[in-house]
Amino acid sequence: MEIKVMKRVLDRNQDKAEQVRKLLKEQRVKMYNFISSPGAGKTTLLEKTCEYLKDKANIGIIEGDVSTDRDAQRLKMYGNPIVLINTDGGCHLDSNSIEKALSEFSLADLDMIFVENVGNLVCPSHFDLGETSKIAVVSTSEGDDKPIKYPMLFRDAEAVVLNKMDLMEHTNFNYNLFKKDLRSVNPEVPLFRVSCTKDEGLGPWLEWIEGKVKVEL
Amino acid sequence: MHETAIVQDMFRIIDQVAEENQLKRIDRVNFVIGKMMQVVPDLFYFAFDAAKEGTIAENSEVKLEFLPIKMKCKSCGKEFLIDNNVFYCPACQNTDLDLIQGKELLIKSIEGE
Repeated sequence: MEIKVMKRVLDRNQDKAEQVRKLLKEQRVKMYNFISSPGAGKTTLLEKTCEYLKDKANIGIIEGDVSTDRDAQRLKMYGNPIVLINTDGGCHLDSNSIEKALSEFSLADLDMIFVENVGNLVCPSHFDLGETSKIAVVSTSEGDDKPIKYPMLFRDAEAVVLNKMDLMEHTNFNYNLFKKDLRSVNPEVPLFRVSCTKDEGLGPWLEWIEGKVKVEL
Repeated sequence: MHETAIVQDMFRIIDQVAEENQLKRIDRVNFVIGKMMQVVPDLFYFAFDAAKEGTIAENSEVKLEFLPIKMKCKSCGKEFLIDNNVFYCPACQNTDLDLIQGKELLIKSIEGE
């Protein structure tokens, strides 16, 4: 016999994500989920962002890594409350671990939470954390074809940061092709070209994220 | 994407359905996957074959139905399929689109006795 089921798989993460989203809305805290491949520069971007927002917003950080607390240690120096999640081999954060992390913050004291997801362009974009939106970080040293290869992330992202612009001349990264592909996947997404280590081009990104502080959820 | 995690969660649902319906044997699982999820069929079959050993589904097969990515234009209402990652409305060139199909990971039905 054939039994009709019509049940979604991986539903539990989605259900929990909706609970997280509801909690954040009640507490009026915006949460941004930073997703990139390993080494694109998420942590450095967050360092620059936290430094800029120091006296402008109350930021909490959820740091996701497979192992070690190296990135968390780097971000600690900016004085924001920070919760580390080691996935011990897991390739993405999930809403359950985010919910637990949120219980360690005093949400009433925060304006925004930045989640640094595990370095991975595939899985994090499929696991809703209950975030306000995703920020895709990509770099010129990893090839210009990421938007077309990972459309789900670039389609869902509220902003795209292209890092390591200072290295572009030493690679075969074709910026026009990258932009064309990005625009076909997500025609309107803001694109910020930066070099975090050289402190170049960060102004528009920092103004954009600062602008989000006052936006109502 | 996460074929193993998908299969593991699938078996949680299979076990539930089997218990509710007193099934002793699963013959086939009919599974619907939206193309936006980037599931690799070979990896999926591999994970399924590994997970089914020693269960009531051990002689079963899984049938995958892939759904294309479908968008709806918020401006003119046109519904259309995406097959080359180009997200513009073909009728009015608008880029403000709703995704109405493509992210499914759904057990449609289970066949067994």
